[in-house]
Amino acid sequence: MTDIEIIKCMREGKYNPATKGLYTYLPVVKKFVQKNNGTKQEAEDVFQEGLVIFCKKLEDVNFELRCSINTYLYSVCKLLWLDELKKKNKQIKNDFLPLEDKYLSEEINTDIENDRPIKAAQEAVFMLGEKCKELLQLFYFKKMTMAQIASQLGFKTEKVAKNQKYRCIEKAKENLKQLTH
Amino acid sequence: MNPYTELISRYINNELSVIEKTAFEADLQTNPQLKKEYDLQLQVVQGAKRLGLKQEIKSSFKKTKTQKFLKKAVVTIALTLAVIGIVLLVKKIANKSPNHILHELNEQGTSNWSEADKILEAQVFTINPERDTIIETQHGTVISIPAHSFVNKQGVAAELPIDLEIKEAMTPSEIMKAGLSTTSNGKLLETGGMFYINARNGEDNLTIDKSKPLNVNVPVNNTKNDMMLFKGERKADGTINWIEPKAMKKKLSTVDILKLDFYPEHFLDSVKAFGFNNKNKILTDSIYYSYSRDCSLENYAYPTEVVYESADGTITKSIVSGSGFSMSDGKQVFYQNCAMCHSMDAKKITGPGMAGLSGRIPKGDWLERYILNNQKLIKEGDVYANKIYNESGSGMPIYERVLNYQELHALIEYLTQKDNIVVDYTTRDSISEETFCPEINPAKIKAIWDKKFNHTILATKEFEERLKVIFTTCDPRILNLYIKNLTHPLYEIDSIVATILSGELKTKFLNFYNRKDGGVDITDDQSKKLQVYFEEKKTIYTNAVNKALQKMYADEDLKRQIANDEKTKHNNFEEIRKSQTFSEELEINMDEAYRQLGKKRPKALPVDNYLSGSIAQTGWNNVDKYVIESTTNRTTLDYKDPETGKKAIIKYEPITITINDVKKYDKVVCYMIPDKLSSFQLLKNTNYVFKENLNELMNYTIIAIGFKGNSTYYHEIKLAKAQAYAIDLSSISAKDLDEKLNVNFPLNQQQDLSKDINYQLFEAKENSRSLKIQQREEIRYRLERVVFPCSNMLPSAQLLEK
Repeated sequence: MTDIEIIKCMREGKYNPATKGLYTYLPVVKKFVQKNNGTKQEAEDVFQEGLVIFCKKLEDVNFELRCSINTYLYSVCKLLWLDELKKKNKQIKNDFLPLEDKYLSEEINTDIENDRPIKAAQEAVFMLGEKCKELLQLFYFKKMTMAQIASQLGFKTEKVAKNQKYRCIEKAKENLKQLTH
Repeated sequence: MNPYTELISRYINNELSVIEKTAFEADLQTNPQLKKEYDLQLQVVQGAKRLGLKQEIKSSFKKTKTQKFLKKAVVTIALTLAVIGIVLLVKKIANKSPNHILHELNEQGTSNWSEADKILEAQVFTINPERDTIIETQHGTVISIPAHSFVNKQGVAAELPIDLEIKEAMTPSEIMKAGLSTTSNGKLLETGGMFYINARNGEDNLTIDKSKPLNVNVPVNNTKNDMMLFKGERKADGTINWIEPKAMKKKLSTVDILKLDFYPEHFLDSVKAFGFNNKNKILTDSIYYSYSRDCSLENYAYPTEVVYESADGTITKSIVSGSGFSMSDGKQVFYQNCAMCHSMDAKKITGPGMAGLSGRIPKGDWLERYILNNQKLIKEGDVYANKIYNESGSGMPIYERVLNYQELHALIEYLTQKDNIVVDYTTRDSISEETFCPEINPAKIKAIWDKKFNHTILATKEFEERLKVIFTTCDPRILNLYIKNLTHPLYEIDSIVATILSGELKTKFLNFYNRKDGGVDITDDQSKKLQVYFEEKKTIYTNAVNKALQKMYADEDLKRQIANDEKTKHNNFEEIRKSQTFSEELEINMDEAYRQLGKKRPKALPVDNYLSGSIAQTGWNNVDKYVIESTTNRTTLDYKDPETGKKAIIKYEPITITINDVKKYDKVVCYMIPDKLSSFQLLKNTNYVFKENLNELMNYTIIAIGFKGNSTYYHEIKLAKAQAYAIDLSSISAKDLDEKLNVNFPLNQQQDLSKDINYQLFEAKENSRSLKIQQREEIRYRLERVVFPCSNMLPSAQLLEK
């Protein structure tokens, strides 16, 4: 698949073929993570995080790819892993070089910085109970109506579902507050 | 509950009324508590979205990973390169009994033997290196060895007989017993078997001339798509590591072409339905080929270049020349050397796909240098070469000594040409409807259904299956594509065919294409010869069939003409004969009537007047009138002379003859032969009941003759009486019948009878002949729709029921 085809799939919500196309970039990321104190599993996690950031970037209608997806993804994953290592207070190997392209490097840094609070909020939502998690995802990500959600998750009425949603948001807000302090 | 949550949520979801919204936005400006809650809530909403996305990606990732894992579980065949060994198909050459040979040095010139080398028995074959040799191992691996493919250390082709040594471990137990690993750089592989080959001249190891590689066919029961050939690398600890995977081509296995069914669908069934023995190939062939006809305009307008996207999104490019789809040289080089690891689209096989290559590689002669020796480039620190190495995890083989200058540049041209554009396939519109013949000429099938085409892609079950569909494409060029590209794998031709077709047929060929059925190795020279053979035979057969058919129809026309002439002649003769017997009978009746009336008969009445009956006089002439009436109608004369009161009576009495089993004869004729007339008379035939009235003045012999084919059946009744007879006919030879007629009847009668019987015989034959032609033409007409499925709208299956 070409980059353009991958982007098209992603934008149309066809994550399966897109991921399949992007999977070929995994080995490079793996190699890097494993070289730098990471496990295979960690490499895969970082890769998936990189995919999420790439995907979120595509949501911007004005988005323009300034480099190949491969380069972008690799750079994002590199920086994400760097973050992880910092968190773990582990040493970074000397041969780890910063990106040559200054503008690209800046852009990617901005993308990651912008993602940070959202990722934190994701954590906050993730900490909720199963039903809450599902309800919020169905409503905000899958864009289902409250009526559909009520029938899918087994709420008696739409109103009950709606009230449940408010409670879930409230809880997530509480979680988020705790996480950021 | 937080009082803001619901309000903010409704604002975010755009559920507020205009007034509420305005109020909310104003509040947001002034109320820091609300602002804080709002920001937090927005963040949570985005978090929820991200969680959804993350989980979606996670599950896609898992799915892909599982798929890739399954693909990686490939069949491994280990080939310890360097050299070769095996059994002979063509000519069995001194197959020494299996033994444990362990020479001092292995094929790499070291004494680093692995466990497997020590445990597995070697099969040793002595071959003449100056000849092409094909050998088969105990496990059925077939290796073809071109002449002069082994060279010694000095690079000189071996001349003396050489020993080929082969060791095989094809079953799991053998593999385990030999202690062979199935790991490639630590990754576990699924194996279909391993083998070792080496050639020696005494103790000296020989190597393979890279320009004359051996072709190895490995038997597998369960062909998996991503089967690869790995090279074995001996480790110091006696194990083998499998490296440098190479894709293996799925070869087609050929069968005896005459055992395949190249007829259109339903042809054999239809032939059987019409009562022919469809197991008799000579018969079915002659029926099928009799439809051969010349369609000489079928080579028009091939696409010159096609790009084609299959259902799964892969893109295939094919370059074809105007007349015969021969590939450009660069493409040929690509398919011979590169296509095992590289696709021409973006798809990665072992190496990266070639789509968009010119856009991404460094400019200048980089590609040339990379193809020739990529490892040198990597060592020199070339950035892009290293990038490819890191991404694909392996380098590419070195082509320095493999490709010559022309091949290399043809290949580079092929790889870097601008992305091909779909060229509209020039359609039938340019050819007028009358001249376009959509059907496949059976002569073409006869030309290829020939043992000369054994060991080509046509002599395969795969092609047989395609051919059935090709008949229904109504485009004779498609068959030509397969015939003209014998050196290519079927799937390449399928892809071209799919671009020509549309709709359901396109899908069918897409499916064929997706099976990736390979080819059969034949040389360009063989292919060209077969093509010449095909063209020649096609024309010869078509002409021969056309000539034969013309002659057949001409002969039949002639016979029909002769029969018509005979019939006219016979009818004319009958007319005369009948009037002759009539006048004789009338003569007798007249005499008798006058005799009974006691009067003298007036003489010399013109014969014609008997029939016209134009007698105006009264008196004696009245008698004539009644007699004529009675004789014509064969009814009893009962006349009273008004003057004398005397009577004249001549009785006619009915006889009825029925023939037992009359249906079994083609035709039955009943003759009555009166003793007083010079010729016979015929009994009237009403639904095979023969009736007539007998004249009491005469004695009759009745003979009935049945005709069936060339045989005759006979019965005679002497002194027949006016009554009903039921008779059986019995077989009689022509000679005996002649004899009987000769003995029983006077010459005149006998001649007339013989003549009539012969004519009846002739007519019976003629009827059965024209009936056969009629049936044949009916069958031909109906079969034509099966042979040429394009010219009828009815599905051929329906025809069978008719």
